[in-house]
Amino acid sequence: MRKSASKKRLIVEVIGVWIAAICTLAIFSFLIKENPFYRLFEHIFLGLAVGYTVAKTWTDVLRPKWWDPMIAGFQGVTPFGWLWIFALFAGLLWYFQYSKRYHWLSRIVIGFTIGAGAGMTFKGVFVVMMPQITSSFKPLNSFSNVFFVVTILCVLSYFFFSFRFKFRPIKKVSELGRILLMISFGAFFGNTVMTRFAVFIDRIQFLLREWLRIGGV
Amino acid sequence: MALPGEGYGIKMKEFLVKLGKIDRRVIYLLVILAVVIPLIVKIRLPIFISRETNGVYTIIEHCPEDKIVLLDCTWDAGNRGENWPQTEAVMVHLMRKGIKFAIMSRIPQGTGFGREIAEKVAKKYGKKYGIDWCNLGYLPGEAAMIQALAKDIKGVVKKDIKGTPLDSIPMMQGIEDIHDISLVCGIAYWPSEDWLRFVQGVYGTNVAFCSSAIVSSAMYPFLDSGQLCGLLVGVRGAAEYERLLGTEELGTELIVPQSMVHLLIVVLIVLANIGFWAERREKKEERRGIRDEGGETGK
Repeated sequence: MRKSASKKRLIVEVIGVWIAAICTLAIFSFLIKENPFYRLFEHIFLGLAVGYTVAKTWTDVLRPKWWDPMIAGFQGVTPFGWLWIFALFAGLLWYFQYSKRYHWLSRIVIGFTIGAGAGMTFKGVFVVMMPQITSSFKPLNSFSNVFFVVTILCVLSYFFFSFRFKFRPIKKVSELGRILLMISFGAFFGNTVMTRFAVFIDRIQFLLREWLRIGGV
Repeated sequence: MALPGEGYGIKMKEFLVKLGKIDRRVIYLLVILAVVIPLIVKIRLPIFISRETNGVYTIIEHCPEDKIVLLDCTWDAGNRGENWPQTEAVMVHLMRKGIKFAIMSRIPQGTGFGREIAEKVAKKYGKKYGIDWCNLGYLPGEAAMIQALAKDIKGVVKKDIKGTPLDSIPMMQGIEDIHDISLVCGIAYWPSEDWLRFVQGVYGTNVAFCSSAIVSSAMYPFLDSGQLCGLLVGVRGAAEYERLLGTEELGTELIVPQSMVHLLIVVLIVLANIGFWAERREKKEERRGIRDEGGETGK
């Protein structure tokens, strides 16, 4: 009995690996040119992602956090659980965006959302930014600190748009700020290459190890 | 009449111009070779530990055993290549040290990946679900959820992913709010800065991030200001962490083809620039030649 269960699990695993390998190759086929095989799997991925998210949102969030307490309230198990019904009405207000006549109703819930979002952002910005501002006041006792302060001043001068720089040294500082920004964009781009290739290497590693069973650590 | 060596010079010029116009299929082939060969032939490269990786390692080394670590595994298949080895390395360290941890995710797909790795590592180190680790599941709500979770964990998460009430999970007994969490480790393509805004900034809880390399540049200011106690940068971070742990897992394996591809990209950039420079020079010479001819005709 146990042997048959483990055999079944193994078959399911093998089928899973084959499906994953075919999906990977279908998406990589785009590198040659766009083709129906790629399109088909692109749509499968989109459908799966949406379906999975909807199902997971229901099973992990809505049912345990909203539906079950509400039903328990209506059944008299909990005293105020039925109040959750108002969350449904509040949520449904969003859909009045599609109505020209009752569009204003959606503004109530949008107002709540924007208000809460703005309040949290306002609180968060100070908490996150203040330590960074204070940490940029560094003592000029090492090369890296001096370089840090020079970079800040140069970049800030580049973003000063209120008037034209006629004084030549300030103009040069601003130009240096632009060059330093370019260097930082280069670092960003280097990291972009790193991430993109990490994703590609992971897929090749999967194809070699788990599908073709070649090599190993 | 052609001067001696002039033909060779012309051929060389043509070759240099061609360097800037390599067929993309040739580049694809070179990239595939640079990835496949190190994966088939076992090659190991020296790995140097960076300050940011050491920060994550040190903070976990000093985590007290009576508190838990919260792993925010908000990543999916799209960034498996970077976040999988990072998650695995961190979990190996936690399980080795006997530090209990809870997994959560801000996206539906994240909990599955986190569980898969935790089960794999737990099997290796003989750890049990509910005693050494647990899965809190998918927790939406971003900033609002994080703030509520910091104040009252059991108020936000009543049951784990299996439907067991948190009070019935042995490791979660006595865990009430953020003060019972020694470290929040955000593992994601772009870890949520809300952990810094509403947890580190408000309660002073240690926060470490394991991010993709692409967003790491945006994370360094947080390290510099001391808001983050450590950062794992892409596969590099995972490989460095495995080095610190003395293990050779996925990070160590993936960093070799990664380095080879980076080397290839550097060579291709240099070649393309040589090609660009040669082409520009050729065009300049052509323009000069036309001008000279025009001048002679004018005479």
